[in-house]
Amino acid sequence: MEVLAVFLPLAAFLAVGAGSQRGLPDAGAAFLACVAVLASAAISTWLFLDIAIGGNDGRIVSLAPFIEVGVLRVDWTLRVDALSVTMMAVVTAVSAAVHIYAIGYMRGDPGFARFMAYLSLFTFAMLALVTADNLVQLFFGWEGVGLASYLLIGFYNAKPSANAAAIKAFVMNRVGDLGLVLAMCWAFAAFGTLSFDGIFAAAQSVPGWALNGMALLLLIGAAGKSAQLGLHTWLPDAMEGPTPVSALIHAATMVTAGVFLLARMSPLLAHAPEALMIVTALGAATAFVAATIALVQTDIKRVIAYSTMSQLGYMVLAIGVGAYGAAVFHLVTHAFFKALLFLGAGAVIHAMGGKQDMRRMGALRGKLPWTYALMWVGVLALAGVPPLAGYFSKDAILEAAFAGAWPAFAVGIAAAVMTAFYGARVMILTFHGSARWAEGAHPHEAPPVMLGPLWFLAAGAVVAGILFYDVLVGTGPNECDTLKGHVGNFISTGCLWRAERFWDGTLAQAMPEGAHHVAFWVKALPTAAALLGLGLAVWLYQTAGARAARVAVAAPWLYRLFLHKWYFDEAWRAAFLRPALRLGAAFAGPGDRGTIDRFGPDGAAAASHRGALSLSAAQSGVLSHYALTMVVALAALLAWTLLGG
Amino acid sequence: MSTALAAIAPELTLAVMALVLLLLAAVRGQAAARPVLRGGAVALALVFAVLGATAGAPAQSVFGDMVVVDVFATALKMALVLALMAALALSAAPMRLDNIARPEYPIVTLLAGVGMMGMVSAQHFLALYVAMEMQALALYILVSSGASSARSAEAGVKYVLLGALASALMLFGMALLYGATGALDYVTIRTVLEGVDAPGLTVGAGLAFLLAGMAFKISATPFHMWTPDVYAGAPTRVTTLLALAPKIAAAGALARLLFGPLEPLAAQWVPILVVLSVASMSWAALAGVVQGDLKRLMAYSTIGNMGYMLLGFIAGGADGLAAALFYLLVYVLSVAGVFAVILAMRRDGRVVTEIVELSGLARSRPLLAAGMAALMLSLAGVPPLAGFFAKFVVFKVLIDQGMWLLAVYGLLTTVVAAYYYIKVVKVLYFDIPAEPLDRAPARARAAVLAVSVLGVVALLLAPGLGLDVARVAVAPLF
Amino acid sequence: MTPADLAFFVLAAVLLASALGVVFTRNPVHAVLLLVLTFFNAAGVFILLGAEFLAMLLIIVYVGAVMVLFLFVVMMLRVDPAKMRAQGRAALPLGLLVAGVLMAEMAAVALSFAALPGAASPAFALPEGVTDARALGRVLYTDFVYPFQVAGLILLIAMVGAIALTQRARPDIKRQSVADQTARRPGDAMEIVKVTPRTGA
Repeated sequence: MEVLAVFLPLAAFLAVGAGSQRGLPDAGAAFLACVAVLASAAISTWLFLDIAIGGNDGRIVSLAPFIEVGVLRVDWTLRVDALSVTMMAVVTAVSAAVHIYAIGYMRGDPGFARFMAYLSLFTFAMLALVTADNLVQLFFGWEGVGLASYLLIGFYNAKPSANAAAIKAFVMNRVGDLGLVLAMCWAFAAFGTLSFDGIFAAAQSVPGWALNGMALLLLIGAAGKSAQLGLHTWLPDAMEGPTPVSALIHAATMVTAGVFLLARMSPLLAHAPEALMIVTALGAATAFVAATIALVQTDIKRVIAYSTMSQLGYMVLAIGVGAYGAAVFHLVTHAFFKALLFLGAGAVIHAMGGKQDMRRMGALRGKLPWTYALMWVGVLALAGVPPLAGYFSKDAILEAAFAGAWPAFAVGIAAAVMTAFYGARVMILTFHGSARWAEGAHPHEAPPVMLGPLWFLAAGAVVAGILFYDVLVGTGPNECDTLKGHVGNFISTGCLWRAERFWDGTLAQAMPEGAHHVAFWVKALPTAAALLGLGLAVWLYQTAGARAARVAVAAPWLYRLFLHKWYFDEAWRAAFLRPALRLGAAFAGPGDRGTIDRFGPDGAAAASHRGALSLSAAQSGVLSHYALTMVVALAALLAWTLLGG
Repeated sequence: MSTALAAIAPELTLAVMALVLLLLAAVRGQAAARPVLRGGAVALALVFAVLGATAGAPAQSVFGDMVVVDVFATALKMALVLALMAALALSAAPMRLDNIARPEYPIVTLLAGVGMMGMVSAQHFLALYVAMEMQALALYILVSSGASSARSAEAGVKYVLLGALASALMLFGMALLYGATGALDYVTIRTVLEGVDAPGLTVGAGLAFLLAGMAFKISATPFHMWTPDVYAGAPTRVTTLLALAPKIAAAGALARLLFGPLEPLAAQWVPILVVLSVASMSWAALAGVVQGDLKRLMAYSTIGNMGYMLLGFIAGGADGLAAALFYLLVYVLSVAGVFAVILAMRRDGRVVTEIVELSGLARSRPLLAAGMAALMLSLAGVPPLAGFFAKFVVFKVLIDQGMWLLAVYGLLTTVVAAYYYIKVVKVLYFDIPAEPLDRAPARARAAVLAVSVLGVVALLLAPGLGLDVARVAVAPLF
Repeated sequence: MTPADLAFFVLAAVLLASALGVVFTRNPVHAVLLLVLTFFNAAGVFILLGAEFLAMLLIIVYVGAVMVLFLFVVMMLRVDPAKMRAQGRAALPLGLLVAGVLMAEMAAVALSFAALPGAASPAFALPEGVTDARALGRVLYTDFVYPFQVAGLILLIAMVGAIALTQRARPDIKRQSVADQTARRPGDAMEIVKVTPRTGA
């Protein structure tokens, strides 16, 4: 069962990948890939329900031994516990939606089958990542999703910008990977094992500074994958990939791998409070900075990309304040509404013939009514308007932040205002106002094969919060009464489940103690912030377009700061790239070529070459020379054995 | 007698099948070429089945202790049969295209196989010698069987004369050992040698002669000189055979010698092997750098890789020999794929073997290029391909034995050797495309390439498994 | 010195001298003939050792068959001896040096030769009252049947190989095929045409 869920996408990748070389028709490729992923999604959902409702324990499925070197022993196993089934269900559900959507979106593309194959490959790698039972297998999946992401970002490989973005994503991720690898090495040195259970069991036997060090290295790894501030610049550029890719990889699943990693390692992080403070700070900063940038971007996909980054910041922030359940909860809800937004944006881009500039849109409401309605659902869910999914998860995070670190709470509220603002801004610029279309644009509603997944994701964006609140972060029957005011409890099944029982020790804790006992204004503030942001956006953009421009003029430096994305790319270029290039040039010129190469590789190569040529001369082709060589060698051998023996 | 015949059933089956096919060829003439080739494949499959059926049987010595049949022999014979099958399958297309489809060559290949199987089972100098001569003679004939007779014949003559020299050295070594110990069978020789403290000059000389001959068979420097010329001169289908099967047989025979009768002389032969190994690794790494011909390159690759394999012998013990065997099998697996690619290199009906002819192959034949690249990277020892694990295992047993200096030296030579493997990858992917190669349908070639590449890649999933098999296989020798 | 010793020294001396002659003579035909002489003397040494069968074998197989074949080959190929020597001369000093070293080494081995303590006695002592041909025959098909059969296969390979390598299809050479000629019917090659007068064929 579990094995099928994980390996069906791989089978689809192999079949479609092989078929794409031999003229497999597009319909066949689509059929194979979709059926595999749908089956995988069905199994994953079943597994999730089995553990969430059935209350069964997680299990570990052993497949085969992988590495046995000395004391290092690593197996191929599938770890099916609360955390991984949650991830599996989300990954396969969104992946299935995106697979189906891609049938419409990529129709007629010459690389259709290749695209489908890559999607399946990605799904497999992601499943391998979330079902890992040890850091090595996790790393295997980690690199696998990185590879698939690289392939998909650069899918339009004739476009130089796509190739550049793919390389950028790969390199930035590599920095993060280094952190993860170092963390693995350290963990192996400290614990003597890389399996999660082994590490967690021994976590307390290791001094605190080592745990903090490992946690920080893990954070670097997570920051690379999950686009946290500093290692984030690849994510917006990754929007060069086809939009279904952005939805699946750069919104719903792969970028959340960092959050997953931190959640998975939470039993270790829980013993590293100092590192958690840094995690909190980084998450809050990311949430805030990304939101500000999203305010002023004009490319529809980039806005959503920065929004993704901002929401990832929330998740990391939740990890930092010990609300691991809330982080995973937000991951789940975010997967739905963000994939919805991306796919909706894809429908818009599709309708506009590939144009992504919101200044060239407007008044699309009438042309794309379904897309319009469904995207509003997504935006409201993102903004955190009750009773949509985002409301529950964001609330949970902010409550935990209030209980844990109030500055983070304040930053989170500010970011929530901006979140609602840029969400509404996207909708207004795209769908309302006057038509500012480019010449020859004929917008049209997306075909049903693309709308279907939108419907599914929208349904998820509406109900995921209500359904999963209790199971993921809820506190159980004892506290039901005190939470009467909570909208969620009204509709949900009435405190049947307890998050702590669901997680069953998989996470260090679902929510920090005290997060559920916050004052009413703390619970209400995020909603108020969302409404404020929405109102602001409507006031600035809907009533008269000039108002927004006036704001930009009033605070030009702020506008420029946001527009240039806080100058991160420039700063990196100035701080690392240029010095690195200069240093590189210095090393390469006189240092490397002049010294090391001359005496090292080049010298060795030249010597090798000279040696090789003389050896070749020895290989003269003359028989008697060969015979003589053999006899000389024999004589030498004999002399040696006779003298030595 | 009947138990003896049952024990050598695989060899017997192969020999009898070869004779039946010979009859068919005699009756039908040239027209029998295809049926004989098919029959050869069937014969090998049959032998494989027989080997599989007897794999679990307890070890036994037959023909007055001349021939031993144990797990080691059976495992190597299975590998040999697979190698012969690959070589035979790969030879079909070129023989047809070069218009030299003759039934005799598959038959001679099968008979060479009988000799090789005899080598790994030999437990007696006489049995070893006749088996070795049998495979050698068959290979001489095959090497000379090229369509462009001048080069092929030259290669054949070189191989014959140098092979005869090596064979004479070996025979002389056997004679010296016989003179000193009074015995030809391994068990007695070992008993006698274990009973003495200082074996004396005669034994030392015998050992040197014997090792010189064996070094020729496994192409260890400085007894390797024939290898590049013969590899390049022989028709490619025969080079394929040369690169695959005889090395398994020779390594098996060498293992039986060194860890059998010559075990008491380990103190004397280990330094010799060190010299041979170091020389092979260095020479191959350096001389391979300037090769432009793919077949010559593979010759140097063989020389170098035999050097790495010898490292396992040097480390000694069951672990060392298992590592060596594992290394050898991984190498043979990769090389089968490489030759499948080389055999695909034809342009306008002509055979081409220069590396530059592969320029930009990734454009016109992406699968072929990807397979070749994977194999080259594996040969270069790039993780996580099989070649990496093989080298890793060999270096590890060396380090376990405290011979880290040798391991470091081996590592250095792999770095140099990686240059010419990776150069091939560079040519495949980054050079300006040459004219596309001919497209000739060859299912057998595709199958061999696929098995080879998949094997090299899939070992990643269970690197321990291959080594475990090797450990079981070498167990009877200790 | 017994007569046997004397015979040995004579035979050995002639053997060495004629072997040197094979190497150094310029005329290939002389070389072959000297080789025949070498074989005869070696056969004599075998007889002194009591290996009559081997002696006969040497004369029948090598002298009777192989050497005669060699003579034919030498006569037909017309090897130019001067050219062959030129190639070898460059390596001569090194060759001589190596030969000297090897000689010294082998001498050291020979002088120190002694069977090891505990060495097995020669495995197949000649039984009383049995000729060596008969003794060989007895063990050849019993104790040594395995190598004997393998040797048979070796000869088979040699034969198959020799035929396969030399007999190539040569389309440029016309050969007479008696079977084809006798099987030919008039209809295969002739067409009878009735020619009407004054119309042409």
